[in-house]
Amino acid sequence: MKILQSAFAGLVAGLILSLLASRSIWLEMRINTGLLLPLAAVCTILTGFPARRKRSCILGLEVLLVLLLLVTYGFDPRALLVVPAALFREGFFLQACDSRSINGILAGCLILGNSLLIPGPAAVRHWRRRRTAFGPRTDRPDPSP
Amino acid sequence: MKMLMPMIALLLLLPTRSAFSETPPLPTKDTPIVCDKAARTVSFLAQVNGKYFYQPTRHFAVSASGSNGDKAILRGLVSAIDFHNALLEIGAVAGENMSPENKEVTHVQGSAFTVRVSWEGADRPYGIDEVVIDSNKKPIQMKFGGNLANAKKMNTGCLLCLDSCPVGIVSNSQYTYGAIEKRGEVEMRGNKAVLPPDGTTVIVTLQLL
Repeated sequence: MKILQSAFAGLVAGLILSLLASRSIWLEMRINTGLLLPLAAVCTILTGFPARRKRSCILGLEVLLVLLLLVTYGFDPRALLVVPAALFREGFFLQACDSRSINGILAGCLILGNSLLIPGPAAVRHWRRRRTAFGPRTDRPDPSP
Repeated sequence: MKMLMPMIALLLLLPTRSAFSETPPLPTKDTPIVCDKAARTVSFLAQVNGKYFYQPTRHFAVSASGSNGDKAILRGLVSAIDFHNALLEIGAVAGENMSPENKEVTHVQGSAFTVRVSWEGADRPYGIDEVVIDSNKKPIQMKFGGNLANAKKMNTGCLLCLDSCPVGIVSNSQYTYGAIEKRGEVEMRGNKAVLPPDGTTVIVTLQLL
């Protein structure tokens, strides 16, 4: 579970980095900017990133990615369907796949990754137990007259 | 009888017309590059890379097997060596005037070509100036640089470059090397309003001028 969360965080971070790198034509013409995707995923798995506040960290990365895509390509749906898929295809050497298949894989990753952020029943039970143990907050004045 | 004579004349002319309108062989997956010596054309198969509709590049067509295979508007399905040999076959003469030392101050020389791109469903073949957007709006002048030794050594797969190149087999003599990625004199990208979507197979035809 933790490894999958780290891998997803790495993929999102890698996509942000490769989008930024591909904005430099000098860099784009010299290196495979898509390679930053698997490299970032490997790094986050090995380091266990994010170590704390996993949900907020991954959601923050996703918001950053969406903002970057919108700032760079605007609301052009064709660009949003083509550019991330092209970077993913290059990074994972999936040249035999068309962009529709790559977008399918990306959508799958996105659904799986976000489903990992939903707290499981064990986490909810733990949260409820903690709430009961500490009891209701008493540091605020009672609003009732 | 008056009606019969023109009809006989038309029937006699028909075989001659069909002989003239015979289309040259088209490249296929098994034969991705074809030469037509009579028409002095070379045609090869390529795939559209939609990424370069949205960001600039200095490559028009690069062989998919080369290290720069994903850096071009079109991913060529033919090797640089086969492309070079096909151009020699139609009588093109390589300029061979580019080197890594002079690349930034030299315009590529050699036989000039008109370049057209066509695909299934296209209403007509489109010229390179229609499928590539040059931010300076200067016409693209593709010339046969040659550079086979460098192409074999570097294995970049470059077929047609958008500025004069010491590695690309054919390149644009309008700009010297570095105009796009180093000096920022111009930006080149695929024309999304004309080219078909990412992944579509197209035929690139070079005609010797």
